[in-house]
Amino acid sequence: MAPPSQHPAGPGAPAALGPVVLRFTALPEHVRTARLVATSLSRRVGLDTTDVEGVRLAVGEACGRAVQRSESAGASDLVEMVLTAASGVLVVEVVDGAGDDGVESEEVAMLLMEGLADEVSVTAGPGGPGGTTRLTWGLPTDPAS
Amino acid sequence: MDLSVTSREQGGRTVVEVGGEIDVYTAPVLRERLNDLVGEGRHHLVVDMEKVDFLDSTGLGVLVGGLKRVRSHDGSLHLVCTQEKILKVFRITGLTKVFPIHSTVDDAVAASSGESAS
Repeated sequence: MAPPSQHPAGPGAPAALGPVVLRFTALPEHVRTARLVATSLSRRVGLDTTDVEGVRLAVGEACGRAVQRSESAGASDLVEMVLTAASGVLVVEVVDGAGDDGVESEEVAMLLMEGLADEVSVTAGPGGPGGTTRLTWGLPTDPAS
Repeated sequence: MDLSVTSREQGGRTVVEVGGEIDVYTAPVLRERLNDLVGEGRHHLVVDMEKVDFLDSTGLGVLVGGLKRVRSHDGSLHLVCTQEKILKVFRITGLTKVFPIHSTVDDAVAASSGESAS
């Protein structure tokens, strides 16, 4: 097996990878695909098993929220998920095109995201208030590198 | 479909074995199955979650809905779950206080039978 490619990295910092972007039609069917992409990247950047499961669930909640908001608002815009692993953090941003018309998901979804991610924020999206969910996880520092 | 739902009778209780991923896409299938069972007069349910690989807030919503439904018929809903990642979902949302959660189907059936006659 070929050795993993080498990435330039600052002292003690994990390699900075370029962002991964997934855009999908606002359908419940696609939420699983988004989870798989986020889970895959979170493993790649070195999160442990517990945090990978946290990413899987929290990202699923964020994407489910975006899909439900879009459906309730009749927004046809694609949902966009942007994953960035840099400067010691994994950031997942999920953006929908629904604005004020998007029905807010249940409190339970927010509880889960807050319980699983290190930081959660909900801010405006292109369609109006509430359209952006941002989840953050601290990446493990690698003392060996 | 990444969700499977089967049911059987055990000790006067209906054991519902769920497998796969319960999420925003598949949760409606589980809701329909639970509604059907209650509609058939099965008011004491034991939902076996041991083969569930993923559970999100919509799945929790379905389980809470099922609990409300059986309770309106003086029924019960017990869960079987030992997987830490699934238990965590119940813990974060405070639902460990709402659902009786057991380690085995036999325990759940016994507890369910103990609290009310079938």
